[in-house]
Amino acid sequence: MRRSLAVLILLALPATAAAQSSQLSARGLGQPGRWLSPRSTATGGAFGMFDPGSSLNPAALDQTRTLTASFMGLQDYRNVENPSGTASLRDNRFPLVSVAGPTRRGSLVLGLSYSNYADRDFSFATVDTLDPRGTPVTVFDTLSSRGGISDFRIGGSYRLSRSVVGGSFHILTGSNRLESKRSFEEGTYLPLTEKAEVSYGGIGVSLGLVRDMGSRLSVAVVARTDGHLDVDKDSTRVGEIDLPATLGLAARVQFSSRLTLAGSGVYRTWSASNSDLLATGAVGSDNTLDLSFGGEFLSDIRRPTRRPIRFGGHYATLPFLLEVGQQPTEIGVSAGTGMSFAQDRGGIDMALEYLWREAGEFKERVFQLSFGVSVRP
Amino acid sequence: MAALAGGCQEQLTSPGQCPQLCPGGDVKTVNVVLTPLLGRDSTYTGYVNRGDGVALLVSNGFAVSENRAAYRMSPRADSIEVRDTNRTYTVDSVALTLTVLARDTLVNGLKLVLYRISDTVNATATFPSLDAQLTPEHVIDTLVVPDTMNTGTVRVVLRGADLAKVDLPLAGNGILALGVSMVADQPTGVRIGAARANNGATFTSYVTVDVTDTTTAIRKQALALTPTFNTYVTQTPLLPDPRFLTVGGDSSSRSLLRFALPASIVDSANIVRATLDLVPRTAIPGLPGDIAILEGRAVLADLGAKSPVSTDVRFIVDDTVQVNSSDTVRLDVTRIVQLWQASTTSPDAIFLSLLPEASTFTRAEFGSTRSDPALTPSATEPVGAPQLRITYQRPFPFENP
Repeated sequence: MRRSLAVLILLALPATAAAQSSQLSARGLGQPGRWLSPRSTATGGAFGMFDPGSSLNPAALDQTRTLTASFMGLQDYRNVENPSGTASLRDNRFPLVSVAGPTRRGSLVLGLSYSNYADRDFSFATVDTLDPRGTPVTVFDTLSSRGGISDFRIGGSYRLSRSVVGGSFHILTGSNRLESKRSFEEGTYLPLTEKAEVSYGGIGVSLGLVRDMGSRLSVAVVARTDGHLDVDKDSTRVGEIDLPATLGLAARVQFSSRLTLAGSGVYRTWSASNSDLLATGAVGSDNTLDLSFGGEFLSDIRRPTRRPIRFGGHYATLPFLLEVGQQPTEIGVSAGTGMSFAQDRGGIDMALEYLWREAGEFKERVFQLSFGVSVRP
Repeated sequence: MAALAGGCQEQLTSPGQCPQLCPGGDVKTVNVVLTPLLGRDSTYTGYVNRGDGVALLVSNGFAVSENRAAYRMSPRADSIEVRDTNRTYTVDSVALTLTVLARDTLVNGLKLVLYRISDTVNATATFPSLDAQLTPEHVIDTLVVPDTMNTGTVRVVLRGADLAKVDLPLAGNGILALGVSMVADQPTGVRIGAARANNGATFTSYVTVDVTDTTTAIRKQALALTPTFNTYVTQTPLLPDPRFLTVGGDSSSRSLLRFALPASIVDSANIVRATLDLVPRTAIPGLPGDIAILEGRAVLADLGAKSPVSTDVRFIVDDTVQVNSSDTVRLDVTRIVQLWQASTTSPDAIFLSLLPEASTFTRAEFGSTRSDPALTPSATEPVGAPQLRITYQRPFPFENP
């Protein structure tokens, strides 16, 4: 009863699933999520395909030893730079909520998660001068979007000797609430606000594998396809957008009893969306590659969850273009730690990440703090 | 934790850069100019009679118009009831007051001359019939308006032999009628109070009641009377020229302008500003320094002169008219045009009037579709037609997704 209550409390927490916002998320579907827990974020994402707290690889659910609910919060501070100026921004999100646990037979682990698929939060302000009546008039425009696409995953893993296979079903849903405001410096013109809501729906499936290649080496593979996304604008179907297939590979090596290193690569065929996005007036999209490398150093071998030191870095290309031929990129370095308490019934993980994003003259420097809480009732 | 707590307030707005950061594109602002439907801009007169307005006009040699005013006071009773008995009284003195509402403050030496006129004066009075009574032998007194006074009340008190000028014989009907003219250092005009606005002339008689053995407060009484009728007359009444659109004047003219809002605006435009531009035929005549208001009202149904107009303040617009100016008069009619767009029953029409109606020297004549050579090539006196300038924005093309 107490277990069920704790799980229900966690699921009831605000699950505004979204990752970090970015000016580079203005076009297309926004900023794609990386589906990582704070623990994996601290390793640059390299441990993501082995991490049961992340929603990247269903086979990783096998690492869940007892019913576990986890919740992630994220706060970022950004310096944004583009040809129109600079700004210091901040926002907070709750990008991942998950619950997983083994069945009675032990080989089968089931899990639910609610994570960010793509985030499209932005607000751009511009100043311009118009001449509608032969007299220059200064206008102030603000275009903003709130919302994104969330990924609700139902998955499971099954252990087969030295291998674990997993599969999951994904429901993609969400919306963007778009708003355009214009006000005039001269009060004789009325200010104007226009709104639209674009909602999305789709489904996807993913398969994963984790195999131990000896006592020190493990590899993971994940493949996912998301079909297409139905797009409704103000309750009217306006089209479909093909979603990418995802292929990920990762390797983890335990160099010593204290040090484990991992590397991973995830490739997504976002170019599948290109023609559909061009038809809507967007600039288009391109395939992405996310490469990461990181490690975990245990400060206490007998209690591996007590303040381990995690570190890592990643390089990624981002799918949605601001200008033709100029694909945005992201480079990040990260570090973090965690601890458990109450006889491992509770745990916290933290990750600090510094990101450089760039697409030509559009640049961002992001300091990001991820904070995760897990409960094992 | 501190960083999380301190960062709870989001700050998401950053500088925009188009076209890269403008999904969907720009807000398109468009300006269109409409003229009234050809020949469907009309002037109607007679909404407010002279004297039914909130002021009376008096002038002397004023180029705009020559006016005289008249008041007919309520009857003064020939007795006063004291202790259930009607008592006669003796008039000790009489006070007459006039209220100055507007004058040309640059003209000094203003004097209002009060005359006693026939107590039968009524709405049929004409300038010749009234002016003929304003002779020196009928002068009651002259009220000097101080040069420092722009608005206010002037008063004269009559005593002794002067009381004969306002004597009301017992055998008569007890009605005093006053005619008003004016003189000043230069030709000018003045607007004075009227019964409609409760600031017309007053006629107060201070009397001693024929009764003994009582207090002074009962014996000494004041009988204050106000007009039951007032009017003013114009030497040369001007009728609206059908070639133009007229508002104001002693004929209380109004103009009805009908437009046809394009379907493209009705369907999907977001109107941010609409102004009605009116081109005066000549410099707008009026009393310098006096304020006249051009008012526009949405029309609820197009029934010509009797079209009902909106009483909703959201659809009533106004602006001050500058006297002696020939500049284009601009009236902000944004809310009214938005009503045309939103309502399927409201006609695309606007009714113009000049306030206070029948109570101002200001009378504006504007060009019409019949005087605009672009619309009526045969126009004999070319003056541009009204123009409705609408600035609107097309719907923002939100990018899907």
